[in-house]
Amino acid sequence: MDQALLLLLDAANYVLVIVLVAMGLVIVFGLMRVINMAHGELFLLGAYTLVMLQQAGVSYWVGLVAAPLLVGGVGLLMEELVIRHIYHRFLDTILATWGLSIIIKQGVILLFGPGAQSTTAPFTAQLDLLGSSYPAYRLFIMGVALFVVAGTFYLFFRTRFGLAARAVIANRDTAACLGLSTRAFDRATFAYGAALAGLAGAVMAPIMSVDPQMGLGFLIPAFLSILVGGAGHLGGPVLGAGLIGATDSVTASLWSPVLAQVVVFTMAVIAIRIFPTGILGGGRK
Amino acid sequence: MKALLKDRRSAVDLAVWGGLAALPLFMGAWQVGQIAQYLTYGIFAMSLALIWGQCGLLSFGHAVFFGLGAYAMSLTTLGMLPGWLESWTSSYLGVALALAVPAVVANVLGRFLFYGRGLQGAQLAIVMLAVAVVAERIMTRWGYAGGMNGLMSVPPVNLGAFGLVYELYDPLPLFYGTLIAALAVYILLEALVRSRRGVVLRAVGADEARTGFLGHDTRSVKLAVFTLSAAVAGFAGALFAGQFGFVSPPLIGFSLSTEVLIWVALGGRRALITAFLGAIVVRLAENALGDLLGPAWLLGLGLLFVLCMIFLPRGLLGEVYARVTGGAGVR
Amino acid sequence: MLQVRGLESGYGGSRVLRGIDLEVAEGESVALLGRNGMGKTTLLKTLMGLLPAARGEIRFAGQRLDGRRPEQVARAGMAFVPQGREIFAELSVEENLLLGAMGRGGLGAAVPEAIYGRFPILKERRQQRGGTLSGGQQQQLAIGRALAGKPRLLLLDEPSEGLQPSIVLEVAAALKREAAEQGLTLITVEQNVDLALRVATRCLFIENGGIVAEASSEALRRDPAVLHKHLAI
Repeated sequence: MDQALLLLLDAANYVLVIVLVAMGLVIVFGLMRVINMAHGELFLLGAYTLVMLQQAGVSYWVGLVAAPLLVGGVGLLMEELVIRHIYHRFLDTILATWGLSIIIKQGVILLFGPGAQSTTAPFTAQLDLLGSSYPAYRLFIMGVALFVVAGTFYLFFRTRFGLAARAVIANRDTAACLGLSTRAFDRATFAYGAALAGLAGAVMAPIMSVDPQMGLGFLIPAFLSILVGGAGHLGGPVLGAGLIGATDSVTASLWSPVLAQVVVFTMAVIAIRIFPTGILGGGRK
Repeated sequence: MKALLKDRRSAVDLAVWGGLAALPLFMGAWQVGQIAQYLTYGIFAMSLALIWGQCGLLSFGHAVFFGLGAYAMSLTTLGMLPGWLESWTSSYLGVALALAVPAVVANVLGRFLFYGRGLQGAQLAIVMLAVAVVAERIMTRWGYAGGMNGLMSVPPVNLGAFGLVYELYDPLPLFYGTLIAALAVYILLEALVRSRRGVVLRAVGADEARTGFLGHDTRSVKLAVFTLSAAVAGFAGALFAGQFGFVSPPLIGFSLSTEVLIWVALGGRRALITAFLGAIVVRLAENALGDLLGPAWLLGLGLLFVLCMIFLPRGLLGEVYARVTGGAGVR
Repeated sequence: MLQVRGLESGYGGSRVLRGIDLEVAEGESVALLGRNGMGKTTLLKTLMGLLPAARGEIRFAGQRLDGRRPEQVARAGMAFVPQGREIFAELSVEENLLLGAMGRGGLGAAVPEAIYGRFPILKERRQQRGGTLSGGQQQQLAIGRALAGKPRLLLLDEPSEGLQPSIVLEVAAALKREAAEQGLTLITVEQNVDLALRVATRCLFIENGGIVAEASSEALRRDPAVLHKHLAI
């Protein structure tokens, strides 16, 4: 029973972080029809921001706030320098962001070396949960992720900004004709999506080894979540990440991580066959 | 011959092949051996250019098929096939398996993935990325196939049969053997590209829905070309195994998949010959600059790649090629 | 208020508009008539910035608007009710109207009460999803949404398309009243000559991407020969 509870908590932890990463991808895709292959490297940058600041002696909490801001800024820069020139050429945007991911990864290797870095959590207490102990920091990660996911839903479904963003997503030309600045929304959402990845990277950094290859490990499950859940609605990545993340962490802890990857991948491929646009559908067009 | 020369594109392609055939006249044995290996990468690049440049199918995991071919070849020629097949170590069987195994895998994957419509048809690109990562991890763990170290002492390609042995080992035979193989692949694929089926391929790449309205079964077209491309990639993998004498998990995974994308993008995805040359040129440049620059080499390559995507989507060589040939057939 | 000189535009390489000259005074209501494929919709889209002007200039209320993006054109005071209405089907009636108000008024803008006064059905249905409205109600919503941004010039593309005759009359009456009371300038593209003559004071005929004739609505009602000549009715 204890074992099952711990497993459940670990799975929830993983799922929530994947949701954070996938949500940024889906927002950017919904608004601009751009698949950001450098999203995993934005996660990476979030983690390295924390590494850098902690090495400079700055507190964890400053790093946690600085990471999404800095990575959001990088997102803004990417949008301005690269994406906006080619966003009407669908395949080229995938490739260009792919190229950006190489640049970011190699830049990190040049600055920090190829090896793993470590960061420390702000607290190391173990909490007593129904008789078994669990790291408080992991619960903190879940809290942060849950808060930000809920906040994102609130932003998109309960605020004027969200209403306008949904209008741009539904029909760009019509929204523009009403006077809504599609350029401003492109910039804002790209930066916001990037910031989500940066936050996820920073919050996860203390419980994993931070190395230049870590982005891919989150990019792939995030993408599979979107393909399974659907890209037409913010709920798509949540549902998809729930299925993908839970299957992955349960299989990994009961059998092996490699088998978990194979199972998750097979599941995704079969899901694509049954639900061509994801379980919740792919939205317009 | 005259008609062929009238067509500028054929003339340029012919000149390229002629130039390649003459290379050993100007180079030392070691360099010739080096280029022979790059020719193999060139074949691999053509397989990607076929699906990407012609049909708009992007794949971030094309090395899966290259790696499957390399492993199939190595397991065969090392006598590691299961059961009674063990004693069959012919290079011909190895090549046959290196063509068949990737083709079957691609065909099965395609039957699932080409039904997907999520992310505007980019699901193939992304799922292939996942396949590459999973495949690399599986090969790393799979003791039978050598695990992390891979398989050593893979014998060279043996062209002899019935007990006769003629191994492609010395630089010159290796070079010309590989060149002939590359030319054969080029002729086969170029014939497809220039045929009526090639027109359908490009139509699917340009606008799949509209091509479907015209009565073409676009899903079968994609499935067929994806399968063919995987077989060609597997063939390149088989040649690679014979040349290098070893195979290891990185061959089937993420980084080689990235590299081949870069070769094809910088060379030019629209034409087979520019993708082929792209692989050779980038490898040559890497040979000259890679050690000097270290991680900065890949950084620079990534930068070049992004600039290319923004300003020269036809690729560096592709741009030149399109101007020289007047853009015929290179859109 | 609107001056267009030598305007050319089209799709991709093909030129649809070949030098349009047009002048519309403040408070005037103009109808653009012509057979299908002559460039009427292209003209509206080019004015709105949805299609780039290849040549020529557009002046609106003293500003050059050619080369501007649609949102800039909208903020300068031009509004567009596109063919097919293009309301946001997933959003509520109120949200649709709100978006119209926010485009020019910023995120804090409110829907002017006058819109609900003009189209009472929208008030009744304000919580309903836009996609569940009937064709006529959707047309009212599309017009209401455009008016919510308090534009000075309204471009309408085929407002009568797919509507019953009784609703067409209603729409025409609402537009006329709006124009009269608010001093709104109207440019309407119409196939329905009856509606065009009701709403507009002046009609322009477009053929092969140029304006080939013009007449007052009154004159056309008295002598429909020009109509027959250009529309082949």
